[in-house]
Amino acid sequence: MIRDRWEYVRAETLAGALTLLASRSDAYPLAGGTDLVIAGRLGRIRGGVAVDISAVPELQGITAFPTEAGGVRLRIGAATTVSALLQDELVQQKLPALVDAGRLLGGWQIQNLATVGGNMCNASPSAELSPPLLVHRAEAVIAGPEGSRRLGVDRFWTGPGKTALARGELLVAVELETGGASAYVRHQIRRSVDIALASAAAWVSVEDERIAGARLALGAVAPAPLLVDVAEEVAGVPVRQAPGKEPDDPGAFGPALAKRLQRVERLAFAAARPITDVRASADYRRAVVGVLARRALLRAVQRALAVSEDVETRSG
Amino acid sequence: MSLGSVGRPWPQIDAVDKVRGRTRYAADMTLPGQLYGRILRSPVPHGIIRRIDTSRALKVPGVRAVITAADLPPNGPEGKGRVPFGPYVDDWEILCSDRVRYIGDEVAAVAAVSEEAAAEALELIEVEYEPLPAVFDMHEALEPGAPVLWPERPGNIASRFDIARGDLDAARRKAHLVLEERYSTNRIYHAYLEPIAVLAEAHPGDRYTLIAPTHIPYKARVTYARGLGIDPGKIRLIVPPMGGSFGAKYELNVCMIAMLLARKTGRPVKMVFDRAEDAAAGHHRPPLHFDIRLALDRDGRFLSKEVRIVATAGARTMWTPPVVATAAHRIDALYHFEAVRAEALLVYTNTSPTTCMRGFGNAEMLFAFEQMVDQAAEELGIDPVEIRKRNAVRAGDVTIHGWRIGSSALEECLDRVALLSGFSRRKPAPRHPPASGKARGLGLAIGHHVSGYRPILAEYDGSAAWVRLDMDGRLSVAVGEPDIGQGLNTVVAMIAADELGVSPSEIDVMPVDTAHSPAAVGTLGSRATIMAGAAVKAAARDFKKKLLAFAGELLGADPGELVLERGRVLWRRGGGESGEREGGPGASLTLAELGRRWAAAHTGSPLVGQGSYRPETVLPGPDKYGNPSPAYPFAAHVAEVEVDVETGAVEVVNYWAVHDSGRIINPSTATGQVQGGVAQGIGWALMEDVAIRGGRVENPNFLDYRIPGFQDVPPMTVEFVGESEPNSPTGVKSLGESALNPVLPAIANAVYNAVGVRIHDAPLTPEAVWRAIQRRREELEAAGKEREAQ
Repeated sequence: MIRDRWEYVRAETLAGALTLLASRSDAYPLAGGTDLVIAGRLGRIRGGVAVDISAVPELQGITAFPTEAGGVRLRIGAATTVSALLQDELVQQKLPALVDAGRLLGGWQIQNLATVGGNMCNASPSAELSPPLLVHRAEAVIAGPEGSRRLGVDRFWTGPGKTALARGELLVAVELETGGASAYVRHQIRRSVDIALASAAAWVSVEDERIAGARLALGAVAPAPLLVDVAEEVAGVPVRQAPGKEPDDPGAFGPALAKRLQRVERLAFAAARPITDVRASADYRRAVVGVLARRALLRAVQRALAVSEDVETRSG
Repeated sequence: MSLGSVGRPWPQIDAVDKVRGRTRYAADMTLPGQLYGRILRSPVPHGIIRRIDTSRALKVPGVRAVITAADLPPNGPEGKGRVPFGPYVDDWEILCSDRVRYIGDEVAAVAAVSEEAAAEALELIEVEYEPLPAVFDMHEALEPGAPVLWPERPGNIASRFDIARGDLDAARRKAHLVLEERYSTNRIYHAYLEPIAVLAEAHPGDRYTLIAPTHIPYKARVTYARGLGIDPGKIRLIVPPMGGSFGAKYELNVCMIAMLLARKTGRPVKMVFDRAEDAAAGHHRPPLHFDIRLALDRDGRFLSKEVRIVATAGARTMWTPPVVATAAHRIDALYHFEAVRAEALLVYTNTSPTTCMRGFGNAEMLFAFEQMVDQAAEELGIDPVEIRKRNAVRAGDVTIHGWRIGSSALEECLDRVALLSGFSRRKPAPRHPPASGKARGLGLAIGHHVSGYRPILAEYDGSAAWVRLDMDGRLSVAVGEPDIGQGLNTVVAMIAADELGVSPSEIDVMPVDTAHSPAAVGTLGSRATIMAGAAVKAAARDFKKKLLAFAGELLGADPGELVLERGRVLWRRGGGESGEREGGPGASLTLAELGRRWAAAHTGSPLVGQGSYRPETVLPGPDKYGNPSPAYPFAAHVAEVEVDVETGAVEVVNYWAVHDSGRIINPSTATGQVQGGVAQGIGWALMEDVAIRGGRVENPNFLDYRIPGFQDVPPMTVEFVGESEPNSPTGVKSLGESALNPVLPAIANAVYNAVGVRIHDAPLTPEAVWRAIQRRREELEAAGKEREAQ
């Protein structure tokens, strides 16, 4: 029950939103409300002014633009809802890890309200979208009273509930590279509408049936989502679909990768700094995140091979 | 009867209203001038109240009353003083007088014109606590020197139950195999959709009206009357539609608090818990600890069973004493033993009081025992189906405690569930847990329950019902057992409809209201369908007799020549249906016409048929011998699981349940009962656990207290076998609790079959299974090293 005093103001422009947010120390940006309203109900925030930013034009939409290198970059407005993200064809094609994560975020009702920016700014260590954004080298576009700035998401989350946003600043959008293939997996107790006990996102690029590049990010095992450097471990490793093996099988793409995956698992295990809480113990989280890291990588490799196979089929 | 509804699927009569959101639950109701009540709960697990100051709270605009223990009315002998009271143990106070015993204990209460004012007032009540050492674990509470919650009950023992029968020494001497195992089940939350909500009104002359969902209105008002120092007849209890309970909503302190606030303010008071309050300070299934020694002969026959149980009462005693007694000896009505002994202790801790839940101790014992049966089968090289058949009770048997098994199709349940699930494809459990991938396993468990339980009420067992035809032709049925969402009203309407030759949709089942309904023991112990159904059948027959006699007078016909069908009375002789008018064969009278003419002939009185059912059961004396239930339902379940051996995650991928519940009145609601019981059991088995740290419930929400969703519940095959129960007038037995009882052990046995690891402590969370797998690998490794060293 909300018993504290709340005011509601709707911002029509980015400048207006920034002014409103700067006007009071108890001003909170409101987008989908799936975190803010609950924090208010639980008394974690004792009233204030909710600045509705969901209609600010700069925060809308998913747009693609070409890069100098000839690739495609995607800009996702901070007020984009998770269900809008999931329905976007470019996102579906280019950012599979983000789609995996979005599908797991809450349930349908939550996905219809929750926004990409809200998930990022709430800065939960277990937030679904963080590991995929990390492996896709997303950049946060931030507006503030002093103007706008850009920041790699590897520096965006600074602790549980904490971001690099200064007071009065607002996340406007994230921009991501496309290319390669990615996947996100999480460990959960309930098979829907749960939150991650541990999670992992992986990104790989495969050239000539060899891994050219790889990135790994872990969720819910540290105060903020973690990027783990695995590129050297798997670079150059040959990958080829082994017949008759399930994609989760470590040997699914040949013995060379299987061997390297053991090291990836150990790296993830070593990088994790989890806590023990009501959801799981620290040592269980650490053990599981290694397994998840391996599975995310395998799935990303599988998708990369499927994409290149697809290209071969079409060109052949 | 051939065209009747009984035996055919019939939708629940309130289903459409519920699905469309039209059902009005207590929280939806508003009484004229009502105030909103809130409870101030203790923030400390154990402490002495040094001072309470309510003056600031009383100044909040809109606050009409603040009450503390000082405002409690006398309830002692001759109306003097305060004495503790309670349903089983006298350790209830309503509001804490000098001591708080758990985080959530009721310290004070507020009534205000708005929820906001009540909430604000709560924050302004000043209470000074002197902390006392607290104890949260039941084993620690039993240790010498542990903090004592109730000085008048030293050692923290709330209650105990002991039973022994047969010659243990003689039985044990024949043993070929003795298993000694320790198992435990955990504290879970009933997780009903509707949090606790009540409305109370106070009237002149110490009278009250209470609107409260409860299984046992007549018994609850006795407890409330003792607490308030009044006669039970002064409380009118109306049971609104219930949004789930599973045993939690029997007798609740909040009802008396609402009544006291209504008395103090002179206005109706509504109290509704939010989810966090409900999950933390509502009440939970008690954790049970089992030490079991089972002796078997070479052929797998059970010889002796010795059981020691420790259970958590929490800070005061609700309905856990009979739960613990059930855990201690109900299994003796599933299997034969030559000798048994059980002792059970119910222990106070500084935690939320526990109470009963579907399965009532029996499900807990089955979790332990059905795993031990599989252990024994494996060690003796006997098939799991076969070892159960060798030991199970059969129709006509009298058990070691004198319980009479009128019917049992347990063997058929076993054979059928084995066939449906392809149980013969089950492979032996692996000695080494697999290193990676997903491992599949099949697990079997059986279960049973009672169909009503004689010791619930000392005065009587059974049920009464009325069938009534009003002046406007409306047919209604009244029973004293509330529908708790399981579909009792639908089943009652079907039984009455078939006797009266109408459709169930033409019968209103009256809400239970102590001002109008027959008195009843209530809806518990899986008793409602057998008891209320039999009473309704008898009442309908009485009604029909009166109706036909009256119609005979009107038509000038012999009642023996009249039949009641399709909503009218027809004069059958001659077979023809040509005559539309009174006065000859073929003439008929509609129920509407009969209702009008009866009322006219009896100066407005409705036509009422009365009936009752008194089962031939025994109230066991101090020797605890004698048959307490008219019928015993049986079930055999098989679960198929897939275990992710790297994370310990268990998925139930298939489920088969075959039940003997006697005659099935409504296959649709019966199947629903089983599906719901299995889903609830999957939740308990795999994910549900109330986490308490330092006395505080850490997960009073559905984010961290997980109940299964659709994706966690597999396709299920549900079948019913068995014949009509001879000791039941409608042929039914029961189903509500036997639906849940075998689920946990079936899943645990399947997990063992998949990975070779036995889980002794519920729930089987991914982490628990993962740890057990790690431990097993370490044991095997250590054993391997030892062999090498030799």
